[in-house]
Amino acid sequence: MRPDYLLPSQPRRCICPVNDITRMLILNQVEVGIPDRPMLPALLKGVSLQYPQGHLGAIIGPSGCGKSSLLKAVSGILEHQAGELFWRGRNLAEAGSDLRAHELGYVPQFSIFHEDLSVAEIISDAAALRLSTKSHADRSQRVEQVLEMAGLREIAQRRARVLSGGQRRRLALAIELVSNPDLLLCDEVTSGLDPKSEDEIVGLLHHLARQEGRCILHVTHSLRHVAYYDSVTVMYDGVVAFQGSPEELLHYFEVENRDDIFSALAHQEAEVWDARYRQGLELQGLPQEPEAGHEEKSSELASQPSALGPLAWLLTYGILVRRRWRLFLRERGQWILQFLLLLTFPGLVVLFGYKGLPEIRNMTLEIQTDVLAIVQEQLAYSLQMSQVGTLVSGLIMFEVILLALMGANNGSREAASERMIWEKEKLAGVSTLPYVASKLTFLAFLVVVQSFWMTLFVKSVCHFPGPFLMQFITLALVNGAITTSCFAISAWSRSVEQASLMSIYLVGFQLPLSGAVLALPSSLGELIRPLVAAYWGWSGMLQTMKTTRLYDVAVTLTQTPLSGQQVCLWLLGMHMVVAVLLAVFGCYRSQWNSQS
Amino acid sequence: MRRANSKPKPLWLVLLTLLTLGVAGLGYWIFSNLQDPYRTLQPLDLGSYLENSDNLRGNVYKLDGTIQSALAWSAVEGRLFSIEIQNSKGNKEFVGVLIPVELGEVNLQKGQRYAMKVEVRHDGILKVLELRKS
Repeated sequence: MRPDYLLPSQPRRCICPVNDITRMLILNQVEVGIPDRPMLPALLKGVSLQYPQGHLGAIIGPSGCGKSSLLKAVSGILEHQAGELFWRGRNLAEAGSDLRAHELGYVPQFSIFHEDLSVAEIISDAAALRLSTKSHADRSQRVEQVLEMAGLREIAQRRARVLSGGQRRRLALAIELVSNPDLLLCDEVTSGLDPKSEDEIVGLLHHLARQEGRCILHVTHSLRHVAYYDSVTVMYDGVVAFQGSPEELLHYFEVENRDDIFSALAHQEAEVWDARYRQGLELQGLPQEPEAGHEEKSSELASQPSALGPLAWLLTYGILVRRRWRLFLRERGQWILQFLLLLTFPGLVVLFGYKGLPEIRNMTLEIQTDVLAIVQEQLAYSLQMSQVGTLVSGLIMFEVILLALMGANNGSREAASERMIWEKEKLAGVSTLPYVASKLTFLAFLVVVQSFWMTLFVKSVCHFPGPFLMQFITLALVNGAITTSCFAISAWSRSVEQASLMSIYLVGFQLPLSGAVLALPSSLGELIRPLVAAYWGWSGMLQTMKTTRLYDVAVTLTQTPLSGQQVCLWLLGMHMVVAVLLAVFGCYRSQWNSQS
Repeated sequence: MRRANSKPKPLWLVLLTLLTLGVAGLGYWIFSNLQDPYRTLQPLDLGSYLENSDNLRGNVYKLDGTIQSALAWSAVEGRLFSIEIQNSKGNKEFVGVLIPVELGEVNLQKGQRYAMKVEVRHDGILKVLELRKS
């Protein structure tokens, strides 16, 4: 049975008044501007607020008034340029004093989770990632508690994709509850819900604040349940117009109906509301900074569970790899696409060489005196060189480019498609390195399978000369270089579309810039070639046939200088190293404005 | 900086970029310059050789040249080729080299450039001990 956190018939007040000394969250003159747009008006203009423990606070106001920005400033997603934020007496801007992963739960406006996982799997993964220092039994127990608390037990095996709006919001809340945070920030988790679902969510928030002693701030447009909040904060154009109990709301705005509050707000400028609110603060004489001695001791902070350490990293890595595999196997479209690529791309290559590679007839080495015979022989050789050389060089470049396309398909979606999930997981304490390592493990599998099959298939059908292992390594490195480069692009992109487009451009430029078809001017070529993975792949593959006549004809035909085998492998390896470093930085860097 | 708003420090980026470029460049230099297996051999001084090959008997040299034509063939000895090389002044010179039967599997093509490890035989002929396509 799903527990009903129905709203009590009469609102029950929080036992801690707003000005209680045990207050937990204090904002003092907090200013937040639009990131990278200092000339535009600030999102929050000197906001001063405080919220005690065991408190359910509503934050209301018209669209664009700064409600979500307020939550983002508290969570740290938006950095405040002026003022101070205190949590349990700690100034959050000071080094080592920020909100710990287990202290904060942030439920954004839109539900963010993997749609192909079940409710139980999502909660279980969240527990494994956020409580990696706890025992398996403790984590399982917590998962059960959270499923029960959020009323998700009956739908635990249902995939997220098929959940209703209310169920999705409860799941989003449940993910945050796994780590039992003391501060829960909910951004419009009831918007767009039917009245029953809205009742359920507000009931759940009410229960969580009361029974579990949390401080919960809920940004909402709905004034239906305003009486059930301990405090209501009204924002208007970046300033606080009011903070107080719901009973004072109508009187303060001199309206008879709650729905008229927004109209009343518009009757005066934000500065007027701001001044009025500040006047009220001064009259109440509320302290705006925590008193000395009330801050949490650094030793207490140090004793909090930490997600760092090699073992925790290894556990996190294992969980993320397992999840990636599960997702891959559930995304039928993805593995069908991978299968089709494996089937068709090598097939495309052999289409041009399924009859095998022709034998080369060398020119006579003996000294000839018959000029006509010499000219005829040279003509025949040139024709043969042109045909066979083009075929060999083209087949190799075709292999390389198709593997590069596979690489783009592998890497371009990898980070961008789940960016917001990753941002939330980072906020919940998951480290970047195991995340990137898990992605690389999965990508490495794809690269090895694709490159192995391409090498084997083409070599078997076209009877390419040269050592199999070296050709496989070369092709795997080209594929790996493009895959990791596209993964890095993905890690820095704001959307999947942007990452895909950039990746296609990257592959598209490989062929013309490789010099395999048309040679670049020599100085330009020397400048550009180090950056073009296809060149190193093409050159490296040709080197594997160096002892054969096929190499000779292919080389004679091209004006682009070839590089040695080891140099090619080294440069491709360096491409991968640079791309992985970029991917690490891209994943480490916060990107909450992503569109995934 | 707040945890939720993490950004890589520009100094890290600069240092890692420099380090990566340095490692890549070093590797490139090593593989480009040290992969030549004949780099420790002294290049053949064509003038001295043509003047008096007796003085150079038994010596091993490095020789870069382009196959010009086959001069003679023996089932036991191998093939004698005329190869074109550049002397120290940059002028073209021709010299004969014997490519033994053991190296017969290498594709020898007119106009193809090779790097060779040659020994000056007692009879003054340059015998190729190893060769690679340049």
